[in-house]
Amino acid sequence: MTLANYIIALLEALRHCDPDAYGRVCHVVGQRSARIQLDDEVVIARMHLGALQVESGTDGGGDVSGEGRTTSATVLALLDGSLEVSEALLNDAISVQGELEQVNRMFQAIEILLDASPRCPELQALNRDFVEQKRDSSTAGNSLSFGYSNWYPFAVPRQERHLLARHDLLPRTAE
Amino acid sequence: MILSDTLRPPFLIDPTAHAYKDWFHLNFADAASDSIGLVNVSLHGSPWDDCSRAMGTVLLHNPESGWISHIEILSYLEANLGDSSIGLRDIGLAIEQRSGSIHASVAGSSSRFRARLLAEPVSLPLEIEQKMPLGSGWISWYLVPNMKVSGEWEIAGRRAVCTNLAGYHDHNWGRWHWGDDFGWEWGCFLANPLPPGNPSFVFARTCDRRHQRYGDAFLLADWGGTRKRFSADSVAIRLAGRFDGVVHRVHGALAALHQEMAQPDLPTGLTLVASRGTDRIEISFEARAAAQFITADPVLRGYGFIHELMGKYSCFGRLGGKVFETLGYAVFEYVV
Repeated sequence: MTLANYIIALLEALRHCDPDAYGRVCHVVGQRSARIQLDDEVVIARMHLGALQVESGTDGGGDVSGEGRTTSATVLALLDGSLEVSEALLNDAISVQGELEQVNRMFQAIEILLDASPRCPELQALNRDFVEQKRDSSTAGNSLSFGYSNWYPFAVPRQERHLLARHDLLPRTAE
Repeated sequence: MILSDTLRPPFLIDPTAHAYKDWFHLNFADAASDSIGLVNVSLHGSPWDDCSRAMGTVLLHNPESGWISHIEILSYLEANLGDSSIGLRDIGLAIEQRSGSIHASVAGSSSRFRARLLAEPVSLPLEIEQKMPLGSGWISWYLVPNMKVSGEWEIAGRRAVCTNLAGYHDHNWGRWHWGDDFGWEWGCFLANPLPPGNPSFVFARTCDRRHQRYGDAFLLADWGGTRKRFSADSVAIRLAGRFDGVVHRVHGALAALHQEMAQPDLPTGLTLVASRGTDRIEISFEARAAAQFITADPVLRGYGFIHELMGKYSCFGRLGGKVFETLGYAVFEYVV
């Protein structure tokens, strides 16, 4: 299944299982568009009058509201619990770009999808298909391992580091 | 002979069938590889609802490999359900009704832990049939505090034949929705199998989600032919410290959704003192690793967070007039 087909199938499954959640995705996304890259596949996804449109993004696709990029190996690691989202972002295994508002809305749409999935068998089936397909593919061996980040992504003053440490907000090291 | 360790599905006319939950659970520990693990197979939701799910969960920890986990979720139709068995594609658990023996299987080409285990009862079962309140519903309980586990497994590519592992089995069923205002604390302190004849202990108490209002505590000590059950007013529990290691969270999609639970407030240890008449028990437990298993209700929107704290315990005391001192592996469950 191509990335475009997978995104369309996810939203169709959501619309079928949980129309209210689908409505919330439409509301959150509005008329925005996103460039989404998984491995070498790039698509532009946008909502138009409550319907999802997905087209190839390899030709550029013009301006978009935000961009997200990751790999199948990262998604598999996230799904099996060997990688946390925070670590993936810090390690650049997930890259998200856009203005804060646009990024926030992208993540809200993903959260709505994740939240609906326990009550939506079709979404679970798509998840299982994705995992089986990617585990079998040569591009996303499940042997990739991700360590927990033990660095902070940019230099911070000592006072700020102390403040973050006091509130237990620094990235933690593995056991 | 054990006759009642079977799944307890609702009757067709049960108005609470949507809240049906049922699971078989096996804990085991191996001193040779310093491994502690569990296999759990569970049912969530009415048998007549397509959204209901059968779930298999495998967690294993040892210091060399860290956490290894495997989660499998299927519909009831896709799963192979028997009177006392739940079989998924990779994870299965079946109970022989005549002997009470348990066969557990973990497969899967991508799994770093594969196993075929046989757990045989060493102690008699204890059945708590009455419906104990849990959130908006209830829970019942059947347990075998001491089992001898053997079989073969492969951990991160390393194969081993195992004999004489410490084991524990329980079976819970009832009606509740994950996300209701409830929690529980439960611990199994496995009998050290070498040398044979050491005692095992099981502790449990339900509570609200914030662990501020507790139900009656329960402590069972099982030592050969001696079995002692301590009532709530004879048990004192103290949770200690704050676990500051990395918590392994599964499954990943729900972990991604619940970033607010990435660093949960968990104890790192536990002391438990119970005394009744001339019997006295003092248990100290220290967690070495923690995992968070996120359960989602397939019917109503709601989530439960089952934390498995694995480590070692030491215990001493007097039971039935005999003094004892022991140590072994333990699992402490902290549910919010």
